[in-house]
Amino acid sequence: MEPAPESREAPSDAILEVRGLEVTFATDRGAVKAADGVSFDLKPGLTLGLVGESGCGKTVTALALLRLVPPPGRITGGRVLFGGDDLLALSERAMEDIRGKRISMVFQEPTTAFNPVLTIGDQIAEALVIHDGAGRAEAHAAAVGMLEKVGIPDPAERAGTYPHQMSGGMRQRAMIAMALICRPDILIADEPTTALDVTIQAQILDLMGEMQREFGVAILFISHDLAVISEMADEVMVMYAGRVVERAPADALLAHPLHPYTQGLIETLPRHGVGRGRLPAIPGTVPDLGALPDGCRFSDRCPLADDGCRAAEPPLTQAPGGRWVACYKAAP
Amino acid sequence: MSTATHSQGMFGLALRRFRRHRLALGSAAALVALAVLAVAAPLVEAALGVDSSVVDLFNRFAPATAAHPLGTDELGRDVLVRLLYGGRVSLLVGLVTALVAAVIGTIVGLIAGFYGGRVDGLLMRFTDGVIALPLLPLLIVLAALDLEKVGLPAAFVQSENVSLYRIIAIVALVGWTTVARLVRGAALTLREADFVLAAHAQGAGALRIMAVHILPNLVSPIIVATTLSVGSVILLESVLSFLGLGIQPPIPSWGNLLTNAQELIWTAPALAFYPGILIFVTVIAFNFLGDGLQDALDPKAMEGR
Repeated sequence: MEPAPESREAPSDAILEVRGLEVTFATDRGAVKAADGVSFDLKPGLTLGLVGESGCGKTVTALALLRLVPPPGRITGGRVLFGGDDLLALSERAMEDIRGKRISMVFQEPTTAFNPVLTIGDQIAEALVIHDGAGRAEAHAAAVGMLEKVGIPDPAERAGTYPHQMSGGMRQRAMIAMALICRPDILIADEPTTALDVTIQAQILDLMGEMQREFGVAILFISHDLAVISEMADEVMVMYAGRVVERAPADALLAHPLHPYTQGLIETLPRHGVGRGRLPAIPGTVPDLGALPDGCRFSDRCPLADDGCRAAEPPLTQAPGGRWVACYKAAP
Repeated sequence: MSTATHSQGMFGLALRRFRRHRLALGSAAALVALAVLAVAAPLVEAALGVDSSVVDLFNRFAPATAAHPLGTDELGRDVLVRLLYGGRVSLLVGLVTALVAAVIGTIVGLIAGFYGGRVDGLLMRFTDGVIALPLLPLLIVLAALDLEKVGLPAAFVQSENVSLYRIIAIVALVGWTTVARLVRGAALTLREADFVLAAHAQGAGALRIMAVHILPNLVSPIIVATTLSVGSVILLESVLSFLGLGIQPPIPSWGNLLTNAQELIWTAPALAFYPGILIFVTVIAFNFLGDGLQDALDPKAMEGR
């Protein structure tokens, strides 16, 4: 992907501003915050990578932007500012007008995210029918055009087939076509390549980059895989147990991670030509959100943690180079 | 996902599986033949040169002849033609009632399953209530209801077919519960499906998701349940008619033909035998057909056998 360093620093050109987003799940053992004070900006034509282990609140954060958090989860705080509105304050009806039209989403499993009994073409065209009241022929033509754009051969014929008649890679291309058909401002991609094999994965990443250049869409790219994130993102945000622990321009974060958790994530990446021994791992497991350690929630797995870390949760503070980190021990 | 089964290619497969199901195929053929004959009853009547509505007391209990292939009844009317007209009514009541019940059940089940929570609780407790009603006494009471006092127009109440409409309404009103439960259960699962979340993310509203995304996934179980219920409706209709609460003479139905034959069971047992065997064959054919459709449309159900 082409980096665009000039626009990275400017805060005012954000198309979506998330401030203090909080999502709470009511469980048998009380309320649990799956996302706790998450803040970030999305900028046109740029990609924000969101990385973290399973269960750290990545998907919940993404779904909260569309107000589609599944029960028993609820958005309990924060603001999502988009085009002058706080999305969290809009009516459900107004929200439906935004979903798929202004903000759309690509899901992890293209196999289950398509309805098995409807044709690919009908599903791609659906957003046009819903939002623009497009007629059958018009919507179908647009779907075929979009399928062609995402590199599906014989798009006219493919539009009439059912999801199970396509390969996984094809389906993910079709899903991208579906997400982009209304030319949204924002695309949320939740682990879009995780279900695909590595060669197909590279093709899909290329395609997303291409589509971003063509439509100028802002992308929130979610992955547990730092290698994929590093390929896609302009800026990276690291989440741990529901909180953002570090946010930085992609190259800086990868070259010089500040938070011990980010450092751990990067060390676990397999590298070419380096040793053949065991890959390092972060000791311990992701904490149970209902039983977080006192103070910093990474303190029980952190090699640098001391009593100060266990006393109070470190706030996300600014560091040089447009970076943010939530750690008392962060190397300056 | 139990629903990721059909599409055009899958329907071709289903057809092939159905063709292998001999019993179901035979049942379908028998039902089609019966339906065609029933619809063609006036033609058969004309071809035989008889008039089944004319009483001919000089020709009571006639044995089978060329003009009366199954003989005549206690009023000298042609038994075959009467049976075919009765089949018209019984099949019509069975199909229409099953369809009406399926529509009501689908709507109730979809709403309950899709919304879940309190809406689901309310609708399903109501459904349980309807299931818990003692069916036969209720049907007897409803069948005895004076429709004019309920506020329906007199012209409608006095029309010849009112007993037909009445029985369709009564049986449909208590018969929708099976489909409602079936659809509700499936909708509860489907609403958690990724493609429903994807449809939400595309901006689809509740109505659209129910109608466009969930309902098409339920078509095959609904078809199977409806087919199976046609048989039980025909049975119920004959029970009610037998009790004198269903289709009123002179309109013949298999049920009331059986009632008539009751008094004559010693003098003319054939009069009871014919409608009885037709009810039996039809009901069992609908059951075989339903089983066959189930196996064809949902191959997973067959794996367990």
